[in-house]
Amino acid sequence: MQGDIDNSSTGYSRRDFLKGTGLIIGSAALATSIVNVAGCKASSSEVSTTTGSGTYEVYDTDILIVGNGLAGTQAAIEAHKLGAKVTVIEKGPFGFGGGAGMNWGGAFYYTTDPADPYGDAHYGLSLANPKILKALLDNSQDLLTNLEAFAMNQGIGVGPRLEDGSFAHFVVRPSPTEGSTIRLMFDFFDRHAMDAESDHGITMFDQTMITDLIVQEGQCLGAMGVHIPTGTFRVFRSKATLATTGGSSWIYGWGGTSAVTLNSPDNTGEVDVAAYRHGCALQDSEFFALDLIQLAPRSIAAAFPSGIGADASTYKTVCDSDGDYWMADIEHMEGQRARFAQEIALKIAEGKGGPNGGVFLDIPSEDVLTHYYYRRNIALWKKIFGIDVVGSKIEVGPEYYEHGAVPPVDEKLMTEISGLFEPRGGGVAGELGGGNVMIAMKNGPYAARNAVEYARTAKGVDVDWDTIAGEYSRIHELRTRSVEGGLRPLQVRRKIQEACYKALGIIRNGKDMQACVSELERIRDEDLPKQICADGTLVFNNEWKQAIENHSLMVIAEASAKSALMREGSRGQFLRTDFPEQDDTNWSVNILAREVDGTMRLETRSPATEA
Amino acid sequence: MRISIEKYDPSTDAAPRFVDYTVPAEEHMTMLQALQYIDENVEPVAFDYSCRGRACGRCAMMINGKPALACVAPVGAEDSYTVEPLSGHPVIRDLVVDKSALHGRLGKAYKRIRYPQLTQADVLAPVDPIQGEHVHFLEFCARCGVCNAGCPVVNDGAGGNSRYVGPAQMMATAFRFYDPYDQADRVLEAVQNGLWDCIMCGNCDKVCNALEINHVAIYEDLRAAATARGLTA
Repeated sequence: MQGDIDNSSTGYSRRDFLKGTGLIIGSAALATSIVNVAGCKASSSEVSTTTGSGTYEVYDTDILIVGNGLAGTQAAIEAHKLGAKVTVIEKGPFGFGGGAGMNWGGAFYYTTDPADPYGDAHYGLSLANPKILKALLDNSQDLLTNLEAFAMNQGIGVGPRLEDGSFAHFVVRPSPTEGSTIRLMFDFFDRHAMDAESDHGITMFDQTMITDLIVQEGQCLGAMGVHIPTGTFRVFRSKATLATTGGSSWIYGWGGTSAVTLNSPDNTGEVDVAAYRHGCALQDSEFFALDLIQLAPRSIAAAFPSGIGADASTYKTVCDSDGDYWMADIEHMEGQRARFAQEIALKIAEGKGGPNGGVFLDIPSEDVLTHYYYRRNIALWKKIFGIDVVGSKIEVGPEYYEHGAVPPVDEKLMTEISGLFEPRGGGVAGELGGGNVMIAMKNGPYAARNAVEYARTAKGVDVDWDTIAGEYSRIHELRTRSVEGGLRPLQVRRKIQEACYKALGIIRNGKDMQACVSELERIRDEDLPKQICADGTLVFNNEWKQAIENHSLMVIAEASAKSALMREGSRGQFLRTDFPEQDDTNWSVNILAREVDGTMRLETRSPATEA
Repeated sequence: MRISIEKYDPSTDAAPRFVDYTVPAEEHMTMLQALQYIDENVEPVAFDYSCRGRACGRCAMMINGKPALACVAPVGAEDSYTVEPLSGHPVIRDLVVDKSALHGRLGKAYKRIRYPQLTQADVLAPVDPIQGEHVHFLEFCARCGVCNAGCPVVNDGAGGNSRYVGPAQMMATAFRFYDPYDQADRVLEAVQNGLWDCIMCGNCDKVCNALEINHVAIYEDLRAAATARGLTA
């Protein structure tokens, strides 16, 4: 039972998550309040704008894929194989987006087991849609039978190997059904899939940020956005669209270079929020998935490529402040991500965590870090920081690598908007918090097949150019706005991140969450309208990009906080101290946030509901 | 400490110029953290990043004249640092360059040449563990281009050696050289691409942050294979 929440207005409310510099969250970066912005006309009391000349580039395609990460690359290759003209949009440079840009991606596979249709490492899924899971399983048999060859033929070198050169199957756990096992193939280096896209001649627009979808008569006709290096407005018309932009955990905290997530800073949720604005709900926003990662040095904090951490599969190395490896004897712990998170939350709540809000990772030797991704960082830390972790215990804390807050989808992974598909849409992952990168190889191609089928019979609808002009004006106004007492985008963003970090961690309570909701509404109503850019250039303008993104982060944050507050139970990867039980009687439901008359309203419904 | 950054917005500036910033030092600080501080607390600086962990390559730049990844470049030991965009690529703005030409070349160079495609049986059969380890380590090349920017042969410019493709592309060739499933003549490819024009200075090893990749040892393997084939300089 935690009893010492400090709700003083000067500091963070959670006693041990946030302290000084050198740790994952420092207050230094949040201490400034810049008003004097170079180049900004701050004297006028009215909002003034200029919007430029209104020239656009327009492109047509069959299948538009927004986000060239793990799911997007697989979806693109699949759609292309089916003969569709495919266009891929990626916010990062040359397709190096998201987790795929970090040159990493696990790929699940599992034996067919009717008792466990989802069959991945996340068991006890209570809020996923069983119809969707069954459809995914039924439609992935070929892939699952031949996953290793499929992956290797995309260009992976040798795949995961044991020391003797034999193929390394990472066994997650025995399946409930005798004779079955649930296995994971790691070492899927996604760069090869990106190379395959180029090789297939798939059209890609990189460094392009989508700012809105084109939706008319309930149908998605494509998307539009900005080419970041030049500020050029690009319109993409398509017969079917896939949203593959990943989890948006960038709302959660800040540590000097990163939010408390391994996500890319590109993951700010524009497409999901665009869907929301066009009538889709955002589902499961209260749920995140977490790993443990070092709390210091904060310069590399929350980044698994350079970090040292642990997840459910390495539970035996995690101990509390008494040196008790309390999870070591839990059966099949390696597969139970939700339980892993709740165990850690309970430990910290009991006061057995570390001084900075984490628990401990014990590293008596290099071999203890069984994931090479972490192990390779021992040498890196020695080289760049002079830190040798071998023979020590380091404090590790939760980072959110996945997040819900996505439009619900049906069995074909289509959202409530016709022609808009989302491989990790609501219903796919339930309380796991987002689709989990592991399923990208399964869900991406399935969504692509459905999108191609849809595109074949899609009705042609002419794009309304007034709508396009409206979006053009909206985003350029964000760049050129001047207002008295203007706030730079990063200032506004830190407030969102700070509010969410205080309330949406793995230990939650109603009072903190209500305060978060109030603060987010205040930021939305008072700060966002005052957001200005110090520099109005069209050329690679990070501030402009951040200003646009903040509007998406705002909605994601609001949906997350409000959904978290509404759920009077503990489920998935968090513990709510004022409602510590799961409460299946009342809360075996999904929470959906929907815009009604310009306001966010929440509703609940059964997980078996179709989108 | 003082951070001096070469700034340039082609839409407003006639030429690049250096601007000095003062950044408070912190223990275990990186250049990425310093740039973020300046951008947030002083004025906009254009830079790109994503992974914070030397995997995506997007934060590649020159620090005190040497190519580096800002996210793992420690700062604080010196009083001042000079920061410029990564050499060898067109500058978009400030510290952001356009690496699409390099990435295009690399994407092609990494392609496995093989017919027919691998079967499940092919893939599940054991591979030579030493070869497998070479391949595995090379998977961690971030394609950041820092090695090329630090290569004296690549930087020898006009009048220099135009046959050498640079370390980044050589690593792609080496990847498929070690790949037991590849069927192309990667030794010939390496020689044609300037294997013998590399001066074996090891600067690529010094600047690369994929610590498991030993460039010079790889060139030695390729040279030995080339010599055995009579494909000498």
